[in-house]
Amino acid sequence: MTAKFLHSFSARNAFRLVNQNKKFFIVTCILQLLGIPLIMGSGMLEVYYSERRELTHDYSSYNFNYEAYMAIGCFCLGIAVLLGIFFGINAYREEWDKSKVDMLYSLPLTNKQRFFSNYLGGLGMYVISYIGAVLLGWIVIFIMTPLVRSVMDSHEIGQLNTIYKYYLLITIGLFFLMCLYYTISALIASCCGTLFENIYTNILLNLLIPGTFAAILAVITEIIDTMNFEHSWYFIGYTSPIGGLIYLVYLVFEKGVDVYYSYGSTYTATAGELGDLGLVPAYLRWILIIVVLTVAVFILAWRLYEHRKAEHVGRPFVYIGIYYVILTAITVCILCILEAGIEALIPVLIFSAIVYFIMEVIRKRGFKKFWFSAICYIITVVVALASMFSISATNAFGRAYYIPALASVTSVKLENYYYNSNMNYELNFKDKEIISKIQDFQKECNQHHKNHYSTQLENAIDGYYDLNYSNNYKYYDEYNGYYEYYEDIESAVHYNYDSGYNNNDYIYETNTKNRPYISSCATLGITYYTITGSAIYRTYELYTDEYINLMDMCIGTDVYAEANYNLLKSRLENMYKQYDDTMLKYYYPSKINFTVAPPNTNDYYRSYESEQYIQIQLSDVESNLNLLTEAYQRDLKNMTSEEFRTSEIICNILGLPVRACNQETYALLQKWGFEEFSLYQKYYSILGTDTQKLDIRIYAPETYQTSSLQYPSNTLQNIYVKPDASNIPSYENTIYSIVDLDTSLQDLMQVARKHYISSEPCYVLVINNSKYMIPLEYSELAEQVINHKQTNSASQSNITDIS
Amino acid sequence: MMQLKATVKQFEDFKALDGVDLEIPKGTAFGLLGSNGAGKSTILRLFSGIYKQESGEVLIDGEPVYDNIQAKQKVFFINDETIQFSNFTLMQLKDFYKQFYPSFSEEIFEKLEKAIQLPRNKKINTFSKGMKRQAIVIIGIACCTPYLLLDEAFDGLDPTMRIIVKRMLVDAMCERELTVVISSHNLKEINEMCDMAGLLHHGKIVFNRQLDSLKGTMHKIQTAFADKSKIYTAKDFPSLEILHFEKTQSIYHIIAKGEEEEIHQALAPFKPVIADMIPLSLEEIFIYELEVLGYDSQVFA
Repeated sequence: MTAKFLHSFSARNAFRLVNQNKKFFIVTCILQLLGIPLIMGSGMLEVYYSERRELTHDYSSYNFNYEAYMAIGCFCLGIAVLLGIFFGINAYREEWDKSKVDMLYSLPLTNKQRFFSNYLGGLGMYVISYIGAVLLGWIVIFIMTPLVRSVMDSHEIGQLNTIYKYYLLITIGLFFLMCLYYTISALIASCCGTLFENIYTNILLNLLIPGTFAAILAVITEIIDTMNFEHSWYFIGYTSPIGGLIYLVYLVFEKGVDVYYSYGSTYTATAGELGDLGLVPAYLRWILIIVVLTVAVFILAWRLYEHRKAEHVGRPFVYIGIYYVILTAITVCILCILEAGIEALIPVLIFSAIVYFIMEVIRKRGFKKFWFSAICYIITVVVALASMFSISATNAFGRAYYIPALASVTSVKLENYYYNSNMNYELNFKDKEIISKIQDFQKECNQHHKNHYSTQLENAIDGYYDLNYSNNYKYYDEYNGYYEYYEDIESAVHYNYDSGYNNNDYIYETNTKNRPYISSCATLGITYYTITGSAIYRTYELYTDEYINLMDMCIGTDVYAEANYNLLKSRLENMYKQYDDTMLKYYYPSKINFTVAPPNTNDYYRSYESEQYIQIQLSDVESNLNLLTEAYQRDLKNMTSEEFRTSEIICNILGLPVRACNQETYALLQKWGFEEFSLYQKYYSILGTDTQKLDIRIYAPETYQTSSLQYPSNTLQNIYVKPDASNIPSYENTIYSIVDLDTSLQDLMQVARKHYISSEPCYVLVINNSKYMIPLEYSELAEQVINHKQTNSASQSNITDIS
Repeated sequence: MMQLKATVKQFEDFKALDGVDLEIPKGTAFGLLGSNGAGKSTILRLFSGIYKQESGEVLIDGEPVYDNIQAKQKVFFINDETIQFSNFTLMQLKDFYKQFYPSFSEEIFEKLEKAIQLPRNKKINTFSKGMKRQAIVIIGIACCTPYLLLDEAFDGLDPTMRIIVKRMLVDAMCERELTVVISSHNLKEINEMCDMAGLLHHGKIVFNRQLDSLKGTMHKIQTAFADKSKIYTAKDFPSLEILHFEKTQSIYHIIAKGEEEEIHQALAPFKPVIADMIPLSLEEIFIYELEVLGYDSQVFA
């Protein structure tokens, strides 16, 4: 009986809290009960109205300004959630209010009972209104469901489940974040002895935890170019309430969930950080980590509270450690501005010193032992700068080149950002053998990166160039056709950035045979998904050799064929959906079209005069498109690396290349009426109209080099005039119209390739600054054109000597 | 019994209690006296389990108090602040404390509340300072704890209410052997209420005795000696523990410790013409005891 009575003391103390904070609790209740049902209800109403619009095609009568209601709801909910710190602060009032300490400490409660009852009392008040509001929101949703269902097509009903899932994930996630947020304020209450310190520590700590992590990560990813902020920030979501909220929004809105849009379409994001983990497991993992973090913070709060004494009330910081954590975090955040450049050092130091000393004056309520503050500041700055330097010098303590152990990797995702954006795709490998090969490949990339890139240089000139200022550098302005000389590469780069320079222009050293500075042909992102559910991302700029080595690993695999199959399928489906949505079917009831573009057309969204329309019967669209995608998949599965390098690209289907070796696809296209492109069609985008001026040059193999040693001739990247060569094209002509092209040149243009990779040097045809390889077997033809030109040079009036 | 055994309590650099030994027997009314900052409130907070001692022991009925529910349930502490749970009404405050103290007596509460006539359903933050004090005192008495600790207990009460509160305390002491520890600078009230007193100075106990015996062991002597030509000093009376020695014309005013008989015997060799023994008030004892320790009211004289 006595034991029961004693145990109930905690509950009674918790009830005291509720009684004492009644008004505060009522305000929160009102805000929560208003906010959440408003958000959930207005979302459902918008679905209802959008469905009505779809159903009736009346886009003016069924307008509902749901954004305004959502905004009001979010505002109310946001305020209610933010009030969590005050629940925490008030729950531990005796820790900062001298007038309360005696009576509460003298009550027959143990420290443990007082701490737990305070914690639970405050938390209960904070979350109970939230739980009530969420339940009310669900009631609103279920009341509105029949209404929404009544205007939905039967096949769209499933989307309601998506909405439910969406709300469920958000509400549960927010609940755990609120618990963490509240627990942090309980921790701070254990550490601080005044109201002022409680409030400002809460605000600063909540902002600084994610802020500092983000700032440090930004510096690391700026210094180390194999790491990438966009792929690394996720861990911030596991560290703090604000970080968690950002992650929750990212997780739910950006990843995996088919978010229902008001215009009736659905959006499925790519896997990204989640990999093959899936949304729900990733979400559960995140929840688990947040719960573990909350428990850890709670245990820490209790441990500190346990050692706290009644007489500590009124002392700004009972545990000074938390203050120094904040102070150091602020200083580090400010110092991270140095990411912008070392020239900002003095202003940054001055600013950080001002902030540091203001914080010290606030804490000490004056200028006591100011020399000690100065010493602490110097130590903090030195340690922070030394840490930044160490990160830079050690490549983030080896993390820049980190390759996880094979046994711990469940899958690897390769993201290939090729120069042609239409050919970007992701490959997800689970085969350990291929993963092992990828790891070996990455080791080579790491080695190459170590050998050829200097981090200082990358800092100084935005990332791609060697730090070697001793020689003269030449910049070739392709558009205007002349060279500029610079004393150092930095000037060259900066000058040409200012004048609209881009990676496709030339900059090279004049007196060495080093690799050119602008060299990469593709960007590779490698993401390892490990058995612990973590994702490790690294990115590399690839030379042609490396790119080809990578493609050698990928070509012919099921994963590669399937990735391209999915890409083509989704593009075709998307096209069909647009066709369906735009009601074109009402105007063209029997057939749908899709376009096949010439090989040098990159942008599949654009429509060119040179494109061919392939028509498919509407009655059999699905099976025909399936035929095409499956044929394409089989072709790619059977394609060899050699074919990938040398087989001519005949056309592009919605941006995806069809090579001469892709026989099934080619045959199918021919069956549907596709004819090989004429010269005019093939080079339409370059040749333009008949009256456009054409600059045509042919360079002999010996005048060129590429960044690649193994593949000196390729069009994957820029081609560089050899420093010791004469730089004069073997053939140069400016004509005014396509009709003026002589026959041999037309023949040469017919065989020129946009995509061609050869380890043997080849002739290069440059038409209006676009480069085309002349395959080795047509070298003789190129020779003939040059010879023909030379014999007629006297009669040519439009030659310009650009040397 | 309440006990402090070699108790040390320190606040950063300041030693509030320096190895204090103190025993307060059950059923006594104990007055805690002392200079400002002597450690009176610290002792009360140690006994009520608010503070934890750095070393030594703080015991109630042989049990350590800090973080011990059983011991803390035996103590009710009323501090010198008046702002406590100000959002509560008197009845809510009663209900709150009732939950924590199993021996709470509704009957006593009703009786006391009736005598004082406080508003039952008004929030305490609308009460005057004296009313707040009355409210917490009647709740403290109604909790029926064996030990009641009062810090500046009568502060803010009007004279009539002081008498009423004192009567309440005395009744409780008579009825259920309540032990009351009162810390106050009002020595008159201590004198009236307490049967034991302890004097603290600079964190140490100067004395801890029954008030009656305390008064009996310290005397003010007005005396004149036969040999008027000789001027006596305190050193001439080595057998007396003299706290204060002053000569006005031929009359000597001596404050000395010891029994009346012992003092008479000590003065006898000097042939006193007159030797009047005047009992000291508690206030005088306080002043003279502390004067010996350097806490002198004559500093600004």
